[in-house]
Amino acid sequence: MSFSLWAQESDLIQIQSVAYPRNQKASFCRRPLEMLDTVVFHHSETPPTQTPMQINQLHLNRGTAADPWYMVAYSYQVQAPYVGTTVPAAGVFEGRPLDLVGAHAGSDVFVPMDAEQKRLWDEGQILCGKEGGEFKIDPKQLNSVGNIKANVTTLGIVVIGNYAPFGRDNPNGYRPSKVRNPTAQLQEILARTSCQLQKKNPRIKYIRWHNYYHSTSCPGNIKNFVPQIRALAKGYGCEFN
Amino acid sequence: MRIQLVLLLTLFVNTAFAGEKEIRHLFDKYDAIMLRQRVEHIDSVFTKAFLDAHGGREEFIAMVKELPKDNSKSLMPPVFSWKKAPKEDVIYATLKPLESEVNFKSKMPVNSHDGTLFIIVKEKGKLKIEGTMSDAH
Repeated sequence: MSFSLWAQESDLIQIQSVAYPRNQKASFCRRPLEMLDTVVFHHSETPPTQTPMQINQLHLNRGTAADPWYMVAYSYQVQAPYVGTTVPAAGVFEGRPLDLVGAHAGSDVFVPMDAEQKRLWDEGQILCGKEGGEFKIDPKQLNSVGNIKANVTTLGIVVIGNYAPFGRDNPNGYRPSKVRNPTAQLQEILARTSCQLQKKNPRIKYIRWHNYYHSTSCPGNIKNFVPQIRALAKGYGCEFN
Repeated sequence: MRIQLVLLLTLFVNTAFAGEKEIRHLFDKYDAIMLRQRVEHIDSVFTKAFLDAHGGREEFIAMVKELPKDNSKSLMPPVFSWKKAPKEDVIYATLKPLESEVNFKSKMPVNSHDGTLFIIVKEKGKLKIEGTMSDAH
């Protein structure tokens, strides 16, 4: 099954649905889509042939009995072959539904809210709980100066693969003599997916990347191509900062 | 009853310790490969699936040989934390960057990396590295 985010355009990216198992013992937060203002790029650090379902399983396994994980942390997962290869076939897959707060930018990272986001928070529209249970305001979503967790206002798009160099800290990385950059096809997919999201929700105006928020090598060289991806999105009528 | 409890606790502590000891040994060998090019350890450190995903054993060795080799310093015991996955026979271990890679002024790793999250599984009864993943949360 697939569905469209931007059905009136011929440039539509088909987003494929996946029936992910979820951990019903885990808590999560719900948000109105108007809270979102930023797309965040990631790479999974795994081989590109891993499937969205396998990434979901890795994230379910990451939890503990005391802190279980609900499901895949990203809102979308992208499969794409590396330069010079054809496997896996390129595709975009749903991840954690957009109205559920993701778990990707760093649980200890907070960002300022604009007036609309503050209004939504003050109205108690960000609620946390477990499936089948009561959902409540969780004061821990804010820090002492009133900033909100970056996960609440962002959505994560992960590219399945590894775009950072090989080394002790990254044994899945690319061979130093063969730098791995996102292909033109992958840049196009990221631009079009981001643009579709903005067409659906014009409040989404920023493209960022994992280590914009958090000390990590993720998303490798994809970060260096954000200007090109923004420019490609502009070609589809979208403006990102 | 009390003796049984003590025996159970001793067994639990020993089992936990054996797990940690085995992981430490695994990362000792991992660092020997990645920092000293001691490629003879490769089959006991990485799963076959991991090596296959990198084009096979010889291709992986060629990648290791491209890394800078530094014999001038002794290898420090690797710093890591770990936990067992709740439902599957998988261990997640976070390996911290080497001290030499940390900028002590900013207290941040020079490569902007908090630590690498390794996926460790049992292959033929031995703990081996299956891969890594980006540590989202």
